[in-house]
Amino acid sequence: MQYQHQLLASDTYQNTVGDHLLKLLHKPINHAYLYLDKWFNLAFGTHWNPLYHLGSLAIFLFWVVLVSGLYLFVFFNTSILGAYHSVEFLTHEQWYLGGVMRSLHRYASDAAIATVLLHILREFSLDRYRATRWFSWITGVPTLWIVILLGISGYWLVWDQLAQYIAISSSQLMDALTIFSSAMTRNFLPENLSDRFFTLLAFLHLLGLPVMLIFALWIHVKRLTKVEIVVPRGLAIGCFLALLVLSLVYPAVSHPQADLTKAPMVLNLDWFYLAGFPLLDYWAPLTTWFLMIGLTLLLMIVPWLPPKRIPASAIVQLSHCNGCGQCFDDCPFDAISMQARTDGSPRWKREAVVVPHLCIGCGICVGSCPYSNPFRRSEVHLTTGVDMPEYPVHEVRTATDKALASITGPVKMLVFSCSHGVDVSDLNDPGVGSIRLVCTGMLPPAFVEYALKKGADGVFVSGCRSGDCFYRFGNRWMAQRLHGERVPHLHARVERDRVHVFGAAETDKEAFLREIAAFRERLQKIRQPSSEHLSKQEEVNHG
Amino acid sequence: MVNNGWRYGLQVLNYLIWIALIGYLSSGVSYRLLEPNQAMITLALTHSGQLKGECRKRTVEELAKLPPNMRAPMECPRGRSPIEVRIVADNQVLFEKTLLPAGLSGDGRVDVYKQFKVPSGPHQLLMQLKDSVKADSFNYVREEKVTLVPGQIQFIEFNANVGGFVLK
Repeated sequence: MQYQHQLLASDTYQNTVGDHLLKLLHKPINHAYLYLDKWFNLAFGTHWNPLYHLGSLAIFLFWVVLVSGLYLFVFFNTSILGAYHSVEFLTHEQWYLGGVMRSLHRYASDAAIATVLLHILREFSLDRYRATRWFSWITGVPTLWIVILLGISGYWLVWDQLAQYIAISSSQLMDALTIFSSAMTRNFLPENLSDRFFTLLAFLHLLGLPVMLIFALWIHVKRLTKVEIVVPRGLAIGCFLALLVLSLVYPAVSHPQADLTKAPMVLNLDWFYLAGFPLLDYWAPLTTWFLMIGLTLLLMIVPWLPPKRIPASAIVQLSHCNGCGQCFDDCPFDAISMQARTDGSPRWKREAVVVPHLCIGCGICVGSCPYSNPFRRSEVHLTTGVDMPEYPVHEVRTATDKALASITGPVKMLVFSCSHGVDVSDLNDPGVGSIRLVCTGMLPPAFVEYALKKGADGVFVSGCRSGDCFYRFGNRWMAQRLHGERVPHLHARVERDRVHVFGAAETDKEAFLREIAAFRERLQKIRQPSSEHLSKQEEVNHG
Repeated sequence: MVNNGWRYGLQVLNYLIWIALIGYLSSGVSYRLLEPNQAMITLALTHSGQLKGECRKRTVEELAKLPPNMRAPMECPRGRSPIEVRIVADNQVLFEKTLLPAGLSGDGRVDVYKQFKVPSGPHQLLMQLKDSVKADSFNYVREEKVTLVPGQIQFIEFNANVGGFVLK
């Protein structure tokens, strides 16, 4: 029977009631995403898959909103009487540019909020919001509200019947709080309407809220490194062209001008931003407040709902840290800093320091440390510069040895998989041994060479799907190391044909098995050179 | 493997689905606020109730004890009366409530903004307001017949200086 070793991350589902309930909640959405991912990978490839770039796609859409908004502002009249006519001028008189800009402004805003909502749902379903990730999650909640307020305030500025409806409904909502000295709704009595209030709103939409949004986004990604705020060019071009087509085919138009003596009868609501307003026609404003505050609080406490996740933090072994900074470069969560040496070593100037509350326990730093080398037999207990206390490299080496010893059959394969990709524990293949790591980014390249030298015919590394690592960069760093594009490199002498990298999610078991079978076939050919190759060799040997 | 032609074709298909969804949810789904034969009555009232207690003239001794800048001849209690409002249209009560004055000391104004959907056409409106705890019944009453066209907003405001309820 083949050896299977599992080094599971503490942020995978455990065998508790809380975990089972959470899994029930996550799985249906997660699986829906995985199938959608597969479809998008087919159409866009992993590099352009929009679901892998939801955050940066939202930022790109905000850029479209900003640039189109600046153009609209040039022509926009911020007075209550002039606003509607200036927007109408842009929409109809200058439809070829102003109208397109207006439509782009609206549709990009809609696409942005849709993207943000998909981003939230995706991170939730993939369980990427707890433990040390709580910070990004919780700062995302006010960011979402700022985006919603930006959208709502934008609709006020058109001053059509839709704006009238939103203005009065929003004012009723605000008045329910009784925080103003006089009721906000009184601003919308026919004789009370003034430019002053309207100008204040224009200021909020044009400057106040956008500045707050930039600030909120900056905080949102504060605890991440190498934040990808630029969407891949192909995806950006595709999205922009799609929005442009929509703007030309179905341009955004206004409702009739606001008239405070008449009630709007039918409105074409923008359901991306205004879906909550019809509630006010049925519920008291205070009830709506309770719902909004309740949902916000629920979103904010989600990272702390049971079961609790306490990832094991990496530990620096100063005696084996030469301060090279590779772990610092590779950490996706900004948990490692390089500081002046504290042990008085005359040889090295810097040392890596792990900030425990920022460490997610992925082990990517272990894979990047040049000391994570299983060939170092001088030490009985393999020690590296930075290690995971629950999954030390020494244990990984022991597991590798045991796995290699257990494999039988003509072609011996060793699989290094990750805790968040396809589950390889039920392979039941005597020719395959498996070691499940926290993340494939934890795999030091020297282990691949080690496994091949110790008897494996091939090493198969199976991480998360390409472009969608649970720990952001684990599978990318691992692949780059094996391809010699990132230190530590896999040694040049290692036959690349005997190493295979694959990305497989939980639902990709069949594809994974097909890939294993294909790799086995390849290894067989390597072990038994073809008859043609042999006869050629014989010809050479016999002169 | 999918060749590039197919891949770009699939991308176009995905983008088309995406923009169709955006266009549809952005302005393709309408929401009806009023039925074609409905109008709206809006009660927009802001008013301060009368003082709960009586004002009293301070004695010379009392005034002398006060700092010079606070020697107001009259002493009035701050608290104001709650306001009872009742709006009836065609013998059907649209709004009936006792509204407490705003503020920690109960000395603020009362603000109400309520919208009521009603059928268009003629309506007999009865508007009643009581703004003093000393009054036995509504001290402001107005009855009016109005005819509303579909979509019209009939504002009911209040201004004690012009005699009470104002219809606009």
